[in-house]
Amino acid sequence: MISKTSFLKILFVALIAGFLFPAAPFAGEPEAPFPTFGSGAVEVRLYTDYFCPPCRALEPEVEPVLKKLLRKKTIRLTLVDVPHNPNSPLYARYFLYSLAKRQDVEHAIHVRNILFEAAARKDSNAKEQMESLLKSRGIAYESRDTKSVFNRYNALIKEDRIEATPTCVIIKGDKREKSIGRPDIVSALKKLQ
Amino acid sequence: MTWRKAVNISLPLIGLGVVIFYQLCDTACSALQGALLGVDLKVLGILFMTVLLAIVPLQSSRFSSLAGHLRTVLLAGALGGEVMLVRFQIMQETYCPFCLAFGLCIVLLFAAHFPRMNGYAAIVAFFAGVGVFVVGFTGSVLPLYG
Repeated sequence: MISKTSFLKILFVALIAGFLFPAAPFAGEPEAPFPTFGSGAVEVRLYTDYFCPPCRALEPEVEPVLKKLLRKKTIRLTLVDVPHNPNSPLYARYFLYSLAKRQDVEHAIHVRNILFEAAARKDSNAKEQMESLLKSRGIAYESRDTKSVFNRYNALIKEDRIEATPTCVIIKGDKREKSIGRPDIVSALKKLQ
Repeated sequence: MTWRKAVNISLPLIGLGVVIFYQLCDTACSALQGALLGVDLKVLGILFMTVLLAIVPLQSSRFSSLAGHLRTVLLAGALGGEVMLVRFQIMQETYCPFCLAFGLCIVLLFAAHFPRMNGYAAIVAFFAGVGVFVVGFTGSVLPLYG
């Protein structure tokens, strides 16, 4: 049995340790950046999953349209990675890590393309593989805390009730337009041009 | 070939096609997912229809009685499961056309064999199917980060 003195000694040491290393157990990494680009009046939320073939097919079609709309400052674009596949969170995490180094839409789309290719090959399903993939493609990244971004993703997925990918939600004032599937998304975005 | 045999072959093949097509996702991939005791319902659907197809040749062998009972248990059990799956879709206000088409295949197969079924076995299997899905079914409509 621990004596009262021993207990107080242990308590004292624990308190000192707590004062000396207060941040140790709580010191997380800095938060990951939220993938929003542009400052236009129209909000565009693009929901995709790296493992969804129609999302992969959509990317080259919407890329030029989105870039044009961003250049014209028509839209504010949010890219939401939907965790449809068990490996999707890993991909989403490294996408955010790469944005921590450089957050512009050109870079974001470039990294997304790399991740879409990797998901199609199904050869980067572990942390080490993902890191070697990004290194091999010259993509700098920095480990960040993604919890708050994932929580915001969850809130958006619930708010827009995302039941399929790809889905695009366009918010213009009070009007909210939801398009599901490649053809509808492309035509909805082209209408904004 | 009797009409019943044609149904026994064609409907499981349609069911298999529906599950495979659902998995492929053409213009969009549905987030609606379900599992029974941790096993993806798509996998179970493929297995189920494959077993029904495998039973067909047994029908004209010395195991015909066993095959008939097995089919009764499988179809009635699956019908019980389908009731729970349709209930889930109604509750979530999310309907999956492929899942409903698969369910329709089961209903039609059940209806085709109902006159020949052992009623008691069918009732027990139906409620067992409902029970297994009540206990072991997990479904998600919205894909969220854990």
